[in-house]
Amino acid sequence: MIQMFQVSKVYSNQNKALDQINLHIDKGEFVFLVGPSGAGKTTLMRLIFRDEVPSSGSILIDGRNIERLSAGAIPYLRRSIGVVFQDFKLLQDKSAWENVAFALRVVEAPPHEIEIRTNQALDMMGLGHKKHHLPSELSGGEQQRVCIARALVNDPAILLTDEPTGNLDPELGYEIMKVLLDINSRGTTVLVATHDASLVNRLQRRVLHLRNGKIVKDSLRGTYHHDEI
Amino acid sequence: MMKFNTLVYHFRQSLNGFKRSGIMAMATISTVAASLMILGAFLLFHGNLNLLLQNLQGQLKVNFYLKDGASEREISEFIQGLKQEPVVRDFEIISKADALDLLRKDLGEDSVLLDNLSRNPLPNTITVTLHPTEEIRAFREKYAANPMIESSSSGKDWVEQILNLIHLAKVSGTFIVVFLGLASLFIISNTIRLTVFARRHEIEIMRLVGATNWFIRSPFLMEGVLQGIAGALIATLFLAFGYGLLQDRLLMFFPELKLLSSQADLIQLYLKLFFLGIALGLLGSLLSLRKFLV
Ligand SMILES: Nc1ncnc2c1ncn2[C@@H]1O[C@H](COP(=O)(O)OP(=O)(O)OP(=O)(O)O)[C@@H](O)[C@H]1O
Ligand SMILES: [Mg+2]
Repeated sequence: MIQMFQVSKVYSNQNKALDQINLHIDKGEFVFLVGPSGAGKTTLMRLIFRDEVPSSGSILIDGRNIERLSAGAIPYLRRSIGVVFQDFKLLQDKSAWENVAFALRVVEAPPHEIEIRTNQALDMMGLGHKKHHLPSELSGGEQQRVCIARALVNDPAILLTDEPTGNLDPELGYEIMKVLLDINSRGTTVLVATHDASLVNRLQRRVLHLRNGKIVKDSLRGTYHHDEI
Repeated sequence: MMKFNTLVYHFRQSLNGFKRSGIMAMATISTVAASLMILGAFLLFHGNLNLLLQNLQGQLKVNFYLKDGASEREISEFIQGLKQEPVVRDFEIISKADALDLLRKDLGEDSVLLDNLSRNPLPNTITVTLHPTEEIRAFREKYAANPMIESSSSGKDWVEQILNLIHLAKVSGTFIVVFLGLASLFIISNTIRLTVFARRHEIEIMRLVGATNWFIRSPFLMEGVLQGIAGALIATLFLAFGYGLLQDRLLMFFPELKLLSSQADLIQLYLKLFFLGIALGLLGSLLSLRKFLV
């Protein structure tokens, strides 16, 4: 589903964020991306949904080489990838429902479908009863779930989540993780960048360790300790 | 093709943008309105001058007086030349004898004065009637240079002055209109830029969830077009009202004046302004989007 060959990313200020990454993630996998701050986790994700292009190497999503994608084709790649950020990126003046429906409006879904799918996604996140609340009227965990609902409402093949539990307390973090596992069990490939060692260790999934832009460890039922490596 | 629901959605968004940019939107619409109003005033002025010109057609005559020695061949070459000229509407050759007869008729009883002439002093004359043009003088000078032409004369001076005025109006009008058009473009694109800035988070999210560039641009383009249309409507209202008033005043003092007043002509002019407003809005917003959304 996601393949990278010799991918490097050097930002304009000569920061080498990723260095010769080789990576293969199958359809339906659940993968943690761990590593210290600045290791390149966010950069890796941004390359996948083509928010950035690699300085060298190539990236294949679902067998398609995405650096050669024309500007017109990029939106269609993004429709097959759901993205959730640590800082939510919700529209503050729109309700939870409108925020989720937004992702469907943008792809010009018919109104009745917007109605049905938005409600489904919010129900799945356990937010059916708070759909008319503004983001400012929701807790951190609830806002994060609105983001996940928005990322999922288009039924993407890949879900990228960047520190989805970053500013949540551990129990809420675990709740979000369970939601992600649930999504994964329905066939979506899920990638989670996180600092949260206890969550990673609790779930026992594939763990990719990044450090200074390189993959230093790739373990199938991995654990993560901040002091390791 | 964009779906109808999407269009409705964009339309709401652009109305919101309108509200959000408040004073800026007002300033923009006023500028567009002022520009189009001045343009419209010029078009009206120009249209009226042209109308005046139509009524002057009979006056657009140039007389060429031929030397007595002019040969048949020279004259026919001269006439061939006239036939090639697009500005020439009609011409007439008046022989010496005909000219004398005409003069006799004009003089009536006094024509006895002519009986003592030993020879006919009048020249052969070619009288050319022109289509409305600013080039009477150039035309006259060009043909008067022919060696067989003794001298030439043209209609009243004020005809030529009106023609010069039309020319001046065209040139200065073009300048002013272009300048105001650019100013409108600039201010529209600036206003749209502000809206884009106010909605930058929304745009970021749109891109994130896979909106096409045209989807992202649409509400901004619509906002620009709405501003253009609003400006054009205001300009048309003011012009229609102002011109109506002016017409009444002028006719009060110069009842014989023929002014541009046919509904069809005026509606055509206002439609021009309307489409120009749309074009300004579209172009202005495209200008600002070019910078923001590649
Ligand atoms: N837009 C950018 N321009 C320049 N350098 C950047 C940019 N984004 C990231 N970097 C640099 O690239 C490196 C990797 O950054 P990245 O954000 O991928 O790390 P990360 O693993 O996500 O870190 P964190 O855990 O703190 O989020 C860092 O050194 C960072 O300074
Ligand atoms: Mg990061």
